[in-house]
Parts: sequence; structure tokens; C-alpha cells
Amino acid sequence: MEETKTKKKTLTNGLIFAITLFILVSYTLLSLRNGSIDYTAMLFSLACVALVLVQYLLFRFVFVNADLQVMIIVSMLTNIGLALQYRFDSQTAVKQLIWYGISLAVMFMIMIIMPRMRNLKRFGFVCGILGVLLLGITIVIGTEINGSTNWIVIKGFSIQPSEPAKILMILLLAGSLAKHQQIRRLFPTGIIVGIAMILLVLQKDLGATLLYFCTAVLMLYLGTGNFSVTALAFLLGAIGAAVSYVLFSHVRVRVFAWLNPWEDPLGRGYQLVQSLIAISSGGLFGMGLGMGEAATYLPQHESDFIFSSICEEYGQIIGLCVAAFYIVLIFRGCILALRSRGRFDSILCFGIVSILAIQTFINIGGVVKLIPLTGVTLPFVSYGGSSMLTSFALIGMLQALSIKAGEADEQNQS
Amino acid sequence: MSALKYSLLAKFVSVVFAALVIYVLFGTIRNVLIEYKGIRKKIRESGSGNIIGYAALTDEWQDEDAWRPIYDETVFGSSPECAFRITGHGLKGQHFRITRGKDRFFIERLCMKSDLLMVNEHDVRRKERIRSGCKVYAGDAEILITLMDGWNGRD
Repeated sequence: MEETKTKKKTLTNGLIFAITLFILVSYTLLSLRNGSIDYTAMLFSLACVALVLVQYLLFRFVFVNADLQVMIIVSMLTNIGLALQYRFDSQTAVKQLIWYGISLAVMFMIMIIMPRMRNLKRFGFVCGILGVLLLGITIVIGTEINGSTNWIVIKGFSIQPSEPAKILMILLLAGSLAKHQQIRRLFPTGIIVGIAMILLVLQKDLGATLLYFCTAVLMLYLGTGNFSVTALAFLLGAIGAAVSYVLFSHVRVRVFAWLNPWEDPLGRGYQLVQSLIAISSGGLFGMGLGMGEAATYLPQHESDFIFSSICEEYGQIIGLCVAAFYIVLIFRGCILALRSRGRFDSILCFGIVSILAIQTFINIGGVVKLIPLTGVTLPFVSYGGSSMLTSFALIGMLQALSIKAGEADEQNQS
Repeated sequence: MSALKYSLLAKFVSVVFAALVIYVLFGTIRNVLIEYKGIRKKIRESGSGNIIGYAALTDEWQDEDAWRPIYDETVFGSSPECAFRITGHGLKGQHFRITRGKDRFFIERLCMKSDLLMVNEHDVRRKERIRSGCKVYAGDAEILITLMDGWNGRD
């Protein structure tokens, strides 16, 4: 047992070293891109390494019951994203690095506060109503960016309220499902989630609507174990999707572009065609960091289409590894849901994992033409403060549940 | 550095990147699997199979965290190896177990006949049927048993 622990510790140290090496090599390469040495890139790499090492030390010595493997996966994904952001534009990369720092601080705050909150499950309804209010305010004062009215811009600072609202929705669902298993008692929760989804449809935020719906249905199935009700919910969702297709032109455009992007490669299918070209042109090992051309022709290459950029610059092998990292993260989260004590913790843990899994599937599935494009970011990798902050807050909650389960195990053993 | 040299260097470094990322991925998978084996062992020792219901001590039932799952076969007792560990006077290491039959649930005595084990007001002799909402008296502990709503154990 001790031998296994030592082996695991040595391997974990090796993984942190590999991530550090990845960061240093990436920015050293990028610093040589313009002929002379770019010292800003070197400084940037040192800041990234410092953030990884600080996290590692805190996990090793302070948050001993937190999940180190989740931290390694998230660090790897975030740093792949940050290196690409720097390659696209150093100014936006600095902004993203600041968001990374803020997100880590929020994650650690959640890891400190949440294990001590014994009554979190009682605030489910308050969270749900807050979420609906956030989405409602966006309808009134929201600004349209990239075709969706899902942004609030205050003095040049923009936030996407549907991102924090998804955490509130998970808390609402976990609280209700932990308390009631009878379907009729879940109606008020269903109504709140339904209103949230209608507000998202009105904002033309298709990705978030799909995300909320799939997460709610998966959590409903986990909480009640009732297959027929889950199937009915999916049927209602399918009817809703069909109605959206008939009513909204932007939904039809996305579906047409998905079915045959080559029919109109310079119009409706432009984004998808460019995404597929970027993925295929990368080959197995990529064109090399700084050598890709996605930045010039692929719209949203730094956010929604970051996966295509990864495949182009780093190669399809790393693209597959990125997808595999998410699978390991989901698997790890499911193990944690099994380990968690209490219904609320288990359902909340599963909800967090579900939302990350569905978001990843919607993003990667969209850019590889598996499903229609919906404009959802890739967690931890895509550019965007709201997305990064929310993703890290979700990981903070997952880590807090891990700490709680670890402490309960220790108590049982003693 | 010329564009050609940078291009060659970037191509070479791409292989290094792939190696590093694959190493991190497989290392993480290995660590996760090692821990998974440990957790699976723990789950197997403490209770396995489908969750058929929940149980809580009667004086703690209002606290949701006090409700712990009952699996297809769950042993109750004072031993740390029991899926449902209860401490108190008159409790044996393995006091009783709840099992799922084909279409009903059973409570089975694992302790001596002289040890207290009752369901509601009835003494459990060897193996008796148990229903949702039953109160089990084991030693000086009182345990409330609920079975999954909307499912009576029928396959």
C-alpha cells in the first residue's frame, strides 16, 4: 500500500514536471517567432508555471483531501489554451492569464467555504430564482454579440450571465432531487428550469439551452431512476427543438449549415468548412505552434473554435488527448459521486460532471460536424472570462465535495 | 531566426508536445485507475449492487446526510466493515442484514437470538419480510428504513 502511494506520488511529481516543461517549451518557441527573443513570452511562461506550482503545493500540503488528478487535468487543459491564446494575441492572453488567476482564487475560496456549508441544499430554490432573474435581466439590458443577446456590457466589461446561472441551476436541481424523488413534487423545480430555458431561447443562446436541458434530464434520471419520465422529458425536448426549428430562422441556418456546409462554403457553412479545413490541415503532429493559419481565416478561433486551432497547431494527436482529458475528468467525477456521502452531494457531483461533459460534447461535436454548431465554449481552454470563472467554480465545487468525502472517510476510519 | 528555421523547429517541437501531453494523459489515467481500484474495493466491502433504499437512525432522520443507502445486501452492525455502521449498547459486530429477494425485501438476524432485533413491535427470529417505513430496533439503536419511492422491489 505504502509502495503504491510512493509510486503514485513520484508519478504525480513527474506529471507536474511535464506540464511545466510543456509551458516553458511552448513560450520559448513562441518567443523566437519574430526573429528576436520576445522576453514578454518568457515572463508569461514564468507566471503560468508559478500558478501551476502554487496550485500543486496547495493541493499537496493544504487541501490534502482534494483531488490532485483533477487539478493536473485542468492545469494541462488551461495551459494548452493559454499557449494558443498567446500565439494568437499576446494582449488577450494577458487578460486570460488574469482571469486564470482570479478563477483559481475563486476555486480555492469555494474549496475553503463549501465543505463547511451544511445547509447548502436548502438554498436550492433561492439559487434557481436568482438564476432566472439573472437570465431575465439579460433579456432586458442584454447586448447582442455574435447573434445572441446573452451578454451584459457595463463600462466595457462584458459578462455572460448564462454561465454563472448554470451553477445556480445545478444547485436548484441537486437540492430538489435530494429532497424529493416523487415526480409531482419536482414540478416547481421543472417550472423554474423551463422558464430559464425559455429565457435562453429568447436570447437566441442555443448552446446554453441545450446544455441546461441535457443536464436537467440527466440529473432527473439520476435522482429518480424513473426511465419513463426521463424518456418523456427527452420527447418534450425533441418537440421543443422542432418548434424552435420552425419558429426561428437562426436555428434553421445552423441546421442547414450542419447538414451540408459545402453547399454554401462562403456563406452559411463558412465557419464549419474553415473548422474542418483547420483540423485536417494540422495532420497528426500539427503545423507547429505559431505556424497555423486559423487565426487569419477561422472566425472565433480563440473561443468556440479553439479545438480546431489545437488540431491545426498542435496536431490531431493532441486534439484526441484533449478529448481524452475530458473523459478522464468525467470518469473521475463519477467516482467522486459514488464516494460522496449523502444524496445531495452525490447528485450535485454528478450534475457538475454532466454539465462539463455536455458542454465539451456540444463544443467538440459542433466543430467536427457531429452536431449543429451552437456557440458553446470549451471549458478551461476557450478564451473568455465568464466561461473560465464558471468552469473553475464548478471544479472548486467538485474539489469541495472531494474534501468532504475524504474527511468523512477519515472520520469513519478513526 | 528565419521563417524556415522556425518552421522546422516548430515541427520538431510538435513531436515533443505530443510526447509530453501523452505522458501527462497516461500518467493521470494510471493514477485514476489505481485510486478507482481502491474505491471499488471499499464499495465492495461496504455494500454493492443496486441501491434499494435508505436508512437512518430515528433520532437523526431529519438530517438528510444521516440517510445512508441500502444496497441489494447490506449488513448493519458495530463492525467497521459493515456497510451501515451503528455503535451503541447491545449491538453485535454484524447484527442483521437487509437483502432483496425476487419481489420483496427481507431482514435477517446475524446475531444470537438473545440479542435484541425487532421490526416495529415484532421480534425477528431468523428472516422476516420488511417494508418501507418499518422501524428496526437493534440493541439500543432505532433505525428507520425507507425503500425507493415508486419501487417495491419488484423486478
